[in-house]
Parts: sequence; structure tokens; C-alpha cells
Amino acid sequence: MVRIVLADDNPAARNYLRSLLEQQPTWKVCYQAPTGREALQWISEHPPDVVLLDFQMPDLNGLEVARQMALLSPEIPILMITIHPSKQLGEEARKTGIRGLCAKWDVGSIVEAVEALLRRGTYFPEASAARQ
Amino acid sequence: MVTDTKVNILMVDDQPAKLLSYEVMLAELGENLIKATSAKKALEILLKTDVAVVLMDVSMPELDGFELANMIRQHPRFQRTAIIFISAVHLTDLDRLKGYEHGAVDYISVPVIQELLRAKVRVFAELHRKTTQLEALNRDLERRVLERTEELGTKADLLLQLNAELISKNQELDAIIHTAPDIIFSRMPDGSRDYISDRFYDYTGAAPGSATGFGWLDYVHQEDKDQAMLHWLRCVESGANYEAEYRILSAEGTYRWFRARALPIRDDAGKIIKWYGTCCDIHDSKVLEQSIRDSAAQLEKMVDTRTDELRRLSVRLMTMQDQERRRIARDLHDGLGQELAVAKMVLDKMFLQKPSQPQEETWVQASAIIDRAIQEVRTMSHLLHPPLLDEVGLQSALGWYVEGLAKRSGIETLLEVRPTDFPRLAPDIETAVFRIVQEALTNVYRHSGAKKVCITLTQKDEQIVVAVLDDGKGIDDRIAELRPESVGVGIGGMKQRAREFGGELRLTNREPGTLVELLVPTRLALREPNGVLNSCV
Repeated sequence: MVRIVLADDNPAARNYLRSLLEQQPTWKVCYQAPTGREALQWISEHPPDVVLLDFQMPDLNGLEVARQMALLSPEIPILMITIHPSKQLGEEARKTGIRGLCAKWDVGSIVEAVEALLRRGTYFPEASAARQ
Repeated sequence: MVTDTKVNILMVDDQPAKLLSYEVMLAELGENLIKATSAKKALEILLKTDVAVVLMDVSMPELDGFELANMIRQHPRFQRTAIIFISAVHLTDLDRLKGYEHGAVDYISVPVIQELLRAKVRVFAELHRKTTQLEALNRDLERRVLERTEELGTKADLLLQLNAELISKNQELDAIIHTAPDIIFSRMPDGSRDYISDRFYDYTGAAPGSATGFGWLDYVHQEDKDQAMLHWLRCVESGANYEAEYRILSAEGTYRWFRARALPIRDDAGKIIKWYGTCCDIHDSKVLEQSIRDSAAQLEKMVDTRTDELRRLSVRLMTMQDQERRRIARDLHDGLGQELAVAKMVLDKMFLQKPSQPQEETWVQASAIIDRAIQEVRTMSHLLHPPLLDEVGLQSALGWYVEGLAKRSGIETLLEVRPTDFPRLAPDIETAVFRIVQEALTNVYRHSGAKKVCITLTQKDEQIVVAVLDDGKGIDDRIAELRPESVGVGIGGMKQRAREFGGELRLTNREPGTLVELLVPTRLALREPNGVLNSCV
């Protein structure tokens, strides 16, 4: 079973992301965090296989969560999801150890990205970076 | 002496022979000899002619010689005429006395000694001549004296008139000096004071007649004394017109400002013989001048304060504008953006789960619509306030914006950041810097016609420098000087924002192109040490 943690402050987004991800037979969202801090809290106690982080969150944004995770649990791959994908964000994300960046509405690429990360790869598509 | 004129000698005798003999005897004298044979004839002649000497026979038939002499003497004209009696008889002293009483001047006895006769006649003739001459001279003298007296009289009148004028002029002058509000003074060529008008004594309360020479200096204010004296002495030497201002002590013990002016009076050789001048009370106008200056200075200060207030207000407005934009941007993508993204997810997921041919077109359309809506929201939100700026930092946000600009405008862009991991700055500074660069690049895009623009962000030594350099047509010199009336809101706004956080904005014409530089001291710009970014607005 692939254990996934989701962090997004928008409940509707969390909901649909979960239902999207759980379409895959072995994937399970074991925790939905509304804030970055809560996500970190859970992850430190129950390390998942992959983490999906929204970029903009009220307390810590996705990058900051990623930085902290890089210190505590660097082996857990992180995918950042955002309405604002850009080349710059991609670069920043890479610096913090994030392995992938996706546009939030792009259901197809979200699934692809998670698969890539589970394979220990990265997912930074030019296509999504081109859309600004 | 003029040639002697002949005098008339009248010879009176009833005997022509005697007359003849007398004539002969007297011919030598060269005078005019007139004969008369009777007293009556003699009188006639006397009346007509100016006779010097009458030679008379004492005894004649008609008229006694004495009687004739009497008659002659009674006439005022003949009072001086010499009468010489010739007599054979009557020669006693007593007779002579009678004769003298009757007017005779001399006696000659018969027989007549011609030398004697001549001598006597000569004497009287000479006397008469001399007397006549003397009279003539006298008359002349008198005439001349009269003329002179008249002349003097006229001159005296003139003198009196001039005197009267002088007196009246003097009075006028006195009146002027006394009624003039100014102190009037005169000084000797050596510089010492010679005369000061009453006004000085009235004002200073000094004893009348004092303060001459250099004594006036005692009444000049300590601070003004030296300078006034020095300047005065210089003028005395050079002969230049003197003008100076200094304070003089009044009788009440206060000081008032006076302006002294003096002009030199020169003699024909050009040498200065005296200085004349006035000293005018300018205290009130000087005080007024000072108070006007003070008011002007105060006014300027007020204007400066107001201007500062206005500047701060405009900066506050810009800050509030920023905050507003950020708020709206967040609302857009937190609310609207998220909703749209989820909507798309729902739609896509729904279709992909159960794809059906007839619905495909609808799905494609709906999906596209939502896509566009998402893009619009993103664009709007980015233009209002790029999320990258808050979440990631200035460097990232600039990178994103510059790329976008390159795509939109076709201008070749280059962004250089040194050091490559540029530190985070204080949030409001990052926003301000971003906005300034945004403004500068907008200007480049809209006005410069540039083909290339280079943006650099450097932190070196004590300064952070952000520079935008384009190769376009450059900016107006007036704008380059950042004079308030010639800049648009954009550049003025940039200038203001820079100054507000302790930075400086410079615009330079580079020919080609323009260089916009923003300099910020590093210590002012860096983020607070707590490091955590609180992105709440």
C-alpha cells in the first residue's frame, strides 16, 4: 500500500485530490492536513511514502514544509501542487528537495507525478512551466 | 601842467596915453591886455569878460576909482578880481587903508616903474590863472567824487541785497538742518567730525557741542564700531563715496540702526576739502526686513513640513495600494482560483472515469472554458501581487516577471543576481523594489523602443543595488534630473518609495538608453532575524 499525506488548506481541493489519488488501487490517503504544521506533525509520527503539498498555505507554505522535511525525513519524496506553476517556482522547489511540481487542475499529471516520485524519479514538466 | 592860458588884464584910465604906456609896459607878460577909458566901459567889459587883474587909475572924472572898486567888489563874480590902483596922489597909509577897504589889492604909485608894474601884475595874473585852474580841477574832482560816490552807492546797495539773500539762504539752511529727520554732519579731510546737526544731540542726549572729532564713535554699538571706523577711514583715503550701516545709542539707552552716507567736496585741484553727509534712521525698516526674512524662513519650513507630510501620505497610499492588491490577489486565487481548479478536476475526473463519445465535445469545451478562467485568474493575481514575491522572494519574483516581459514584448532580457542566492529582504522593501523594477520595465516596454534590457540585482559591501539598463532612446533630461514638476506619477512614485525606506533612486541617460538605479543600504534592507515569513496581510 502506498501511503500518502495531503496538505492543502482548501477542503474541496483536498477532497477531490483524495478521490483522484484513491482511484489508484494501492494508493491510500492516510492523512489530510489543512496546514503545513499539522502535516509535519503527522509525518514525524507516521512517515508516509509520498507527500503532496499545496504551495500556498496559511502558516508555512509548501517550500517551508519541504525544507523542514529535508532536515527530518529527507527520504520521503514530496510533490508540490499549485495553481501557479512556473519555472522559478520549480527551481525553488528543487532547491528545497521537492521532487515534483504540478498544476493543481491537471489531474493527469498529478497521477503521473506521484508515480514518478514513487519510482524515485522527479516530475518537473516544461509544459506546466510554460503556462504562465 | 597844461600850457598856461592867457588871462585878461583890464586897464582903466581916462587918458589913452597912459593906457598905451601901460600896454607897452605889460606887453612882455604875454597876457591879454584890454583897455578901457572910463569906469563905465570898464564895467561893461567886466561883465562880459573874465578879468584877472584890473589896473585902475584912482582919479578919473566920471567915477572915483574907489567907487568903482566898491562896485566891482560888490559883485559876487568879481570878489576875487585883483584891483591895482595906480595913483599919483593919495599915497599915505591911511589912504592905502581906505583903498584896501574899498577893495584894492595893491597900489602902484606914479611914476610907474615898469618892472614893478610888471611884477605886480604878473603875480596877480598868475594867481588868477592858478586860481582858475584850481577851480577847474576842483570841479573835476568834485565831479569824479560824485561819480565815485554814486558807484559806491550802487555797490553798497548790491552788497546789502546780497547780504540779505545770504541771510535768508542761511535761514533756509538752518531750517532744513533743523527740520530734517536725518542727522546732518560734516567732516574734515582727516576724517574727524566737524559739524553735527541738532538731531544727533536730540537723539543721543549728548551735550550740545560734544562728540566732535572722533568722539561720535562712543555712541556706536560695540559690534559695529570697528567695521564702521575702518570703512570710513578707507573712504577718506580713497575719496570714494561713503555708505555704512551701524547702530547708535539713544538717550533712552536703546540702539537703533542708522545708515550714514557722505560725499566729498573737492577744490579746483581735486583735493578733498570737506565731507558732507547724512545719517538716516533705518531701524524700523531694518527690523521689518528682518521680520520679513524670519517669516519667509518660517513659511519655507512650513512648506517643507507640508511637503514631507504629503510625501509620506503618498507613500502610505502606495503601501496601502500594495496591501490592497495583495489582498485581492490572494482572494482571487485562494477563493476563485481554487474553486476553478477543483471544478476542472471534478470535470476531468468525471469524464475520464466514464468517457463517452457524445459527451466528449461538451467536456472538451467545458474543460477549455475552465482552463481559460483559471489562466485569467492566475494572470490577474500575478499582476496584482505575484505569490512568488511573498512566498519565495524578490529574486524568484523578478525572474518570473522578467521572463513574462520578454515573452510579451519580444525585448531581449537578461537578469543577473549576485550573489546567486540572494538574501531575503524585509517584506515591504521586497515589495517596493519589485514595484520599482516593474515600473521601470513598464517604462522600457512602453516608451523606450529598446531591443534589450538588462536587470541586475547585487549585494556588495554595504549596499544593495538594483539596476535596469536598456538600449532604447533614453529619457528627457528634465526627467533625468527628477525635478518634481516634470516627472509622471510613475517615476515620482518610485523616487518617493525609495526615499521612504532609506534608499536612493537615480535616473541617468546613458546614450544609448537609460539606467535606473536603486540603492539601498544593506543594514536597512535585510529581513528581521526571526526569519519566518508571516505572509498574512
